[in-house]
Amino acid sequence: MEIFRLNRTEEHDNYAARFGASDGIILVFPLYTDAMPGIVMAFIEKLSPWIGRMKGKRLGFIIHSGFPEPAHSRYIQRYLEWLCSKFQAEYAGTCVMGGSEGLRYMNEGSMDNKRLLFNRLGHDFISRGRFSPDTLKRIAGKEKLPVAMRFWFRLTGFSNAYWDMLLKKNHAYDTRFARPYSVE
Amino acid sequence: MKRITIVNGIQEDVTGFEKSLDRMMERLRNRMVFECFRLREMNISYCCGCLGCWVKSPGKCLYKDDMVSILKSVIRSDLVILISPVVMGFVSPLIKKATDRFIPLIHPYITIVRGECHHKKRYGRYPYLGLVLVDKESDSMNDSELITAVYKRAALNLRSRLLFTVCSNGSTEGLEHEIDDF
Repeated sequence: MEIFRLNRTEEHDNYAARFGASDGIILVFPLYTDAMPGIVMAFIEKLSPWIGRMKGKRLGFIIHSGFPEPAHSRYIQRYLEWLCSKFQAEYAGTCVMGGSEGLRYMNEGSMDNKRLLFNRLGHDFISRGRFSPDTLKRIAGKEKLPVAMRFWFRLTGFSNAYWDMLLKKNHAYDTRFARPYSVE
Repeated sequence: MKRITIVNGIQEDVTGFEKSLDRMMERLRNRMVFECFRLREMNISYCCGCLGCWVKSPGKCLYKDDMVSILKSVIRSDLVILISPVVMGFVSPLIKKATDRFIPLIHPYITIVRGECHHKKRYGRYPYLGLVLVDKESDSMNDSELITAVYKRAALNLRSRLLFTVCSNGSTEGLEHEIDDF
């Protein structure tokens, strides 16, 4: 098993060559403006020689987003399914996980359940060649925020406390509403 | 006069679209102000996701590259037209790289829009978006539906709206029709 870090753009040609030589690939990226980051799109462009030549290979995707609802990632999921069909690879599924921005601040204990689910995801991929729908559902959680939670978000500005904490830590809280690109 | 920012993500102009675009802008110059950015000739870094533009220097990207001039133009315009070839069924990496870098224009705070979490506005007003997909192969235009769906979402997250998607094999006729009514 190998991990290719796509932020190493100088390696994209090398990674693209090894993409087609792999039996199974999981492409992982954060959701940037509702799709893959530009750096991932630059890598996807390099994969054109593999169109129609990935028969028998398994291809899965993991998208994580700062927004809590997986619904935001479903639009680009449709593209990934289409891309997989262009390669003629076997679609292993798309795992969508919301609320990832705050993960780094979660304590080890509260991460246990997520870790367990991701271990299961990897196990499914290796043993069955695809992600289990049940695991995907458990990782994704509710597609949209329940009405009560939306009301609570709006009322309390709960998520803003996270941003305020980071802004204060960086001594940037007082300028948080700055509009530096306005033309006076 | 309406202000229009054109973000050109064409990597290699194989269809002659850019010449048509120049002629179109010339025709409309007495009614509209255009600012045109050719991404392939600009120094723009990939967004690294540091979120510094939200929590370290609010509203300002930490990279000091050519994206600054685009963001200034975008936020003062009425319409932003994104021009891209169809690459592997999606927009070009150049256009994706540029639109990733739009995030300093919005605020990290979350609000509920249409029952979903979205970011709050940083600025008082935002331009509409338009998308032009340029490809010499008309078959590629079947991909426009998927691309449009994603860019409608991107527009919503920019607290704006995607007004149109135009598919072109090199002509600006469809685009001119769209902006003529704008």
